Amino acid sequence: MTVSKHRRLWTPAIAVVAGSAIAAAVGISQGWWTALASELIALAWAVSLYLIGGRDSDIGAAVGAQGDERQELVKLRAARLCLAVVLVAIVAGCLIAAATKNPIWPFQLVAVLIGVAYFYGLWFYGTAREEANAAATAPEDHEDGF
Amino acid sequence: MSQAELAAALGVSRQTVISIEGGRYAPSLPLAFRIASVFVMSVEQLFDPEEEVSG
Repeated sequence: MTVSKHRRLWTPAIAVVAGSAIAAAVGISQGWWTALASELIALAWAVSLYLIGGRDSDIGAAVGAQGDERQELVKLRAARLCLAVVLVAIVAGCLIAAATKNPIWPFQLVAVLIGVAYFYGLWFYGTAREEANAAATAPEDHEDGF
Repeated sequence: MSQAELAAALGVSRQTVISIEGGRYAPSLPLAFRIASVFVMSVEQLFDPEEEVSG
């Protein structure tokens, strides 16, 4: 399956935007030479993502923002693993921050956001979407009662 | 027919064709019907419901 260049640009573009935002924040607090280094790292990361996104592999499909049904499943499983690691990191970060008398609210905020997103996802991709699909289908299409 | 040709005909990746052939991935119903259509066979002839999917 060939990965279209247009969709391949999505992930690198997000990396450039996020990296530039971080570089700007670094520039304000730590000086513009540090920001330039941060921006160069972001650009190198974006170029790497673009090159990986063109590979004929599951990783290429994931990074290239497209894939077939099995690759979508692979991406979901990878995302689940990623989330588990993030949750462990949040707990570890919270424990270290509390032990060193640093604020733990950033960890709590991320944990709450993840929790809200999770339950929203359960609702949206579960009953809500099924009900929306059912509502979108006209009743006369189901006169056989199936 | 090569794996790449079959993948192109089905609109999936070559890796997915390899996984299905190796019994590591059970395709969705629409994909199973597309595979059956390509080989001019029935889904029952192509897939054994008793077969376990590994991985």
